[in-house]
Amino acid sequence: MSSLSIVVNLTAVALLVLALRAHRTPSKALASGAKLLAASAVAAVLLGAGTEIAGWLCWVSALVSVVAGAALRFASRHMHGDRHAGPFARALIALAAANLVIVVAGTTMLFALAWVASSLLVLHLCGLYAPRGRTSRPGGDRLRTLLVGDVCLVAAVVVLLGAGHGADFDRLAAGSAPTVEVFAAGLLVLSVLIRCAAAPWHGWLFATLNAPTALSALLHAGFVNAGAIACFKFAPLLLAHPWILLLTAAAGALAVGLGAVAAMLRVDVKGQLAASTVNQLGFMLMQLGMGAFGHALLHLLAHAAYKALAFLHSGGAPGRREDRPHGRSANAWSMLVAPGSFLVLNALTDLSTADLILVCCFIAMLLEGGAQAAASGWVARLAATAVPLAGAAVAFALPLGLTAPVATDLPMWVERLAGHVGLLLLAFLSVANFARDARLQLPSRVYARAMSLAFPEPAPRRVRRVRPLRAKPSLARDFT
Amino acid sequence: MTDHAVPTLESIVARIAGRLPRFFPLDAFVASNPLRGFEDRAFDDALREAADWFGARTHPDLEMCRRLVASEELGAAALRDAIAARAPERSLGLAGRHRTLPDFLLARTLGKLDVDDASGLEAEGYLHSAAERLAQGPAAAGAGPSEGDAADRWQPRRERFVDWLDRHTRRDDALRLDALTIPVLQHAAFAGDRSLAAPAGARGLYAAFRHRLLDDEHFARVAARSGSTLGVLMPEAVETVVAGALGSLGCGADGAEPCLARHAGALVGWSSFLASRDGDGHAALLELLAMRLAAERLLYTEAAVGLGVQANASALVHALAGCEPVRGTSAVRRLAATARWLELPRWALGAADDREIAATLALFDAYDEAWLALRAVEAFENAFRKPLLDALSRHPGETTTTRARAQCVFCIDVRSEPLRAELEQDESLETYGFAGFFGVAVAIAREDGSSAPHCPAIVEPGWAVRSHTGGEGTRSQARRQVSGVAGRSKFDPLAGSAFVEGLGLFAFPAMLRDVFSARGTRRRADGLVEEGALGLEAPDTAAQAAIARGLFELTGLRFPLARLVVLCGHGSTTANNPFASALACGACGGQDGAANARLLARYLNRAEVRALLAQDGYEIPEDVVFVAALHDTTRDTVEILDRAHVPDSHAGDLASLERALAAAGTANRRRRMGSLGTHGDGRSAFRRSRDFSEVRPEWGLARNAALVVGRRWKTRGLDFGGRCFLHSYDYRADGDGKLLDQILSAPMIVAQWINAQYFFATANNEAFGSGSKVTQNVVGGAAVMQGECGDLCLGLPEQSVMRAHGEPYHVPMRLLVAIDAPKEFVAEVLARNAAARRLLDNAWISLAVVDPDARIPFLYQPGGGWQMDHAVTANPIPISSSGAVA
Repeated sequence: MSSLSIVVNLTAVALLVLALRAHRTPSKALASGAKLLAASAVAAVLLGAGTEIAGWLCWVSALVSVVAGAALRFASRHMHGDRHAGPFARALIALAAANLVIVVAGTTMLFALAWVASSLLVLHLCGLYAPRGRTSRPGGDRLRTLLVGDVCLVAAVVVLLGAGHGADFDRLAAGSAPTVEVFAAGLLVLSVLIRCAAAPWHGWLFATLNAPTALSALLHAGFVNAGAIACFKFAPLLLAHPWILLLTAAAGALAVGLGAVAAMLRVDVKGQLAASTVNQLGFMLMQLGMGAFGHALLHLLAHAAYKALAFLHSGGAPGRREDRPHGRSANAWSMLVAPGSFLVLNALTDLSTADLILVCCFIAMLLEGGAQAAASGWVARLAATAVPLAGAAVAFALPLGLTAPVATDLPMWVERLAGHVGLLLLAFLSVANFARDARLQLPSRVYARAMSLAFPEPAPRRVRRVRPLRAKPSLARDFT
Repeated sequence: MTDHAVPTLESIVARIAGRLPRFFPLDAFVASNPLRGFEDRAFDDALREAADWFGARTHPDLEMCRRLVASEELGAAALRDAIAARAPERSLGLAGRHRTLPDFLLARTLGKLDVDDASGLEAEGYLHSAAERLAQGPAAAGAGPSEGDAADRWQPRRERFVDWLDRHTRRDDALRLDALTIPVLQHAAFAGDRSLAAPAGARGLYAAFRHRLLDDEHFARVAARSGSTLGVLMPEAVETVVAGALGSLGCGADGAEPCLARHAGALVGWSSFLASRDGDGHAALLELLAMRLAAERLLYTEAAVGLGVQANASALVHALAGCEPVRGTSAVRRLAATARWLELPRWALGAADDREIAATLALFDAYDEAWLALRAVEAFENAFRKPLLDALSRHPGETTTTRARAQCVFCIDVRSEPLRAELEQDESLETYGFAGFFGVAVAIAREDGSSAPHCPAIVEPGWAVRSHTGGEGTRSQARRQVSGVAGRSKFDPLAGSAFVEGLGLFAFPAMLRDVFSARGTRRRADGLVEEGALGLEAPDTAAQAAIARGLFELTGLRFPLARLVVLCGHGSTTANNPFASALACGACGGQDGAANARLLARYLNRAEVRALLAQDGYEIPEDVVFVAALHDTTRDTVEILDRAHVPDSHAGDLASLERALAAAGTANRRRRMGSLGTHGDGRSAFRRSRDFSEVRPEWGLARNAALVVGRRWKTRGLDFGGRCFLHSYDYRADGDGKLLDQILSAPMIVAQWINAQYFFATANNEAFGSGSKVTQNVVGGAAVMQGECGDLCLGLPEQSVMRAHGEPYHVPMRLLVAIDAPKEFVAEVLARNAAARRLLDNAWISLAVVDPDARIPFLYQPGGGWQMDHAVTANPIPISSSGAVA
């Protein structure tokens, strides 16, 4: 056990102790939890930075600590006087602890344990605020999807253990029958997709929006991104089976597209943020599937911090709608920019697919900023150029510095298929962008599908038999 | 039954729209009465009627009343007095034990007669006989409205059909109805630049809903199994679908209106949003109702298919008739609780007379929970009114004639009152209360072309000014541009991924900054450079003088004027608060009053305006300077605006005034922080104004209870605890009562709106407030909803009126208006003002006159007439020395 994981695990234990006593003085407990997590973040960076093996672990545990600390600190005042302040604080602190364990767990069993515990805690937290009566709609069914993911993960771990793999993540690579491994990897990827709220399994994330803001923020500290952490930890298993990776990339790309469409239909702040999470985590899964573990790690860190902060600020500045109509015009040529530059760069350079997609996204960002700044002064034009370029520098330089879990070279055929997936995705997003900017009217069927995607609700599969509610006769009820 | 008596759909919808509250968007939140459509009814009746109409409780529940009785230290005797004023002192007897009716009602209010307490019920066989006899005998009629067969039938007047269905089956149709319709509503109403557009045929709300579900596999199956199709269940024309749905529900000509009204009342946020948006036309509201009826029809068709009956209301009711809905408190519990309270020997009840039992049970219905809660409200009102009127009437007279050091005009807002009281500890300072927009009905044009009215919601802005953030440096300009590029990218699917990967890490330092030292945002109008924006003419000199004259007339600003006359508007500073504008100035339409104060000060300092004022008899000496200021109610700081316009000769006066303001602010801050639960030197006020996780930055107008209209010396030295709107007024300068008429038509109405908003948001926060802030979700930048998919919320959040969940801070009380003027004079003015009389006669507010000569308070009686209010009080408001000296 490295010193890093000892420190982080100790923090988790301390948090659990704190959680046990949190219901009496919830505000104080949450504030102390935030302090503990801040200390753990500092310790993680000091202990882990620079070490070869624990490099990525150090950054991820620092991230989880900082974001969870911010969420707890936020909750300590935000939840003051709330109807469920006590039980909420208790479960929230415990959830932060479970997330920390997920990051630093050294064995598959501990990992699965923490994973399941965190799911159950989220179910419990959302249950406290489950809609009653007129205020909101039911979310119970959608949340249960999480449990399906848990079952998949536990099954994968059991299969691996049964097939003679070591319980330690370090000794995971000890091979066994390929079919068993593929089976386990498939189960693992399914649980990862559900945890990452990859569409069409994103319903549970929207159901959590009925719970307080602080939980939505904390979900981004190691809960939704636990899927990516699982991929890093089980990397040897996944890399041995490129097909599985490719499927992950395709599922990720699908989530990017569907998440983007959902975000274009939501008009509530939290709903937009959740749809954007589906989109961004899909992007990260796609990068993972294409073998770009460094990019995926950076995306995980950056997205978690950004989105958690956005949730915490979701009450700010109403009335300043960024989407008020100001006549955005669309050019049919703009549809061709992203896919076109992908094809051109692919022909001219030997960049990997993941890099290519990212470059195309930065080109889109440049054009976006440029279109906005065209009418403004030189400061605006400078900003519109400098911001994307600076961003690109960060996005391409940092993954080299971050110690990614594994450096990979995938077989040629995987790379080529991944390229097709990426091109399809870019084309889809460009068309969606065009349809939005040109205010194209969706066909009726597409509209209905898209709405049920943006407002996920389990569709009844059959007409259920209706059972009347038979109340007992009133006299008997009074005496029993 | 004549044909012309059948109301048209349009007239029904128009009548429904008349009942709906007004909707105000979050960036211009104005507190208003959610029951404004019921103000034409007497208060008690209005609350009952509205409770049915909205399907929600309109009175504070008894648990809340009990907590308030404890926290407000209201004696049981005071509560009993309020009850006895409405309930005869007659005897109530059961099996030989006798108590009085008010005692019985008091016990129920205080929870000493608890029908929910089931202890000992099981073992007591004696109750069987009594209850059985009751159930069979003729006395059963008095056992409760929920008993009997008739209640088992669906009544459109009482509830929607989905609600009835939910009560009789294990279905969750009310929630599913929301889930089917609200997403469509959100997209159709708020879709903007960043959204995908709806199909070509889905222009209206109902059409969008129809397109959403026409291809739905599940409901197509349901329709097919019920022998119909989706096209038949959801025809294209709005009128057809409403007629079809009403027909299938079995609502005839007189059932249509209640049925539609229940649907509007159950989705009151969206209904009033659409009704307010459309003004006089109600097409959108009709579409909304059509959508809800169609969705409801789909749901009960599904239920009918599941039961194997015809898909209409009468068939479903017939099929489910055998199942009794969950009942209210039953006769046996009531009887047992009463027996317990009477300390009746257990065996004695069996011997009780059936008539006695029936009479006792009937009392539970005649004096229900709403009745008891309203008596508690009256008790709080009485307990507050008596000391207030007593202090006002026995206040010593005014003798001051010397020139004051400074005169400060504040907003009538209840948050000004304690600051004014602190300021007046210094006898050389005078304060006045005036509507916070100072009569300057202006709009502020924003850079993006929109504008915000800075005047009460009942006034149209007369002109607009443009505000500039003034002297923006290249650095802040660059920062704005960078965040502009970033902000635009983050919602674009292609650029968004690049944005997150490239710039997302910058959220780490931002997060640390927010956690450790957040900055509050205050929307401020800085340099007002340009008048006459938006094509509206700025007032000319004559109009400016007219506005200025209003200040002197209405406030009775005392001459000789002080060297400094401060016009102090107010605003607030909070972070990450969707209800920020609810803390700003209500008279400025939910904005701060800085711009209004600055404009009026500017006008009053002009020589041309002063020349015109002199013609009206308002001679303003040369050495008088008008200064604008802004009171930050979260931090209790007062900032002098346009300092550069103050001549050097007045620098000394200004400095000493600022010291006084700072001292008053510090004292008030300390006191306010105590009420928020943090003690110490009040520095936490600054933390609260900056902290992005703070849900109670200040108490706003909570605990408001009265509007005092009169000369300031009448209230000088009185401590109202920040519960009074104080409007300055001198009846001697108001010959024909025109000014009092103005006060009764504008400030009083605004105060009543605020008071009613706080009343109902406290009484039932879930229905008339906006629930807890922690689960709120801002929709379309205009409103909040609870959670993922709820109705738009209209009122204040729970945290604005409660210390903690279930612990009210605000006391639900109706507004008391106390006027310092002769009784006959006020009566004359009232005779002319029908709107004010309507509120008074329906007991939405109460009016007291403190006759300056008689020095005896008189209470206005609904219907006309005055009653002397006996100023007997247990704990009079002490009058501090500064008042006595005056």
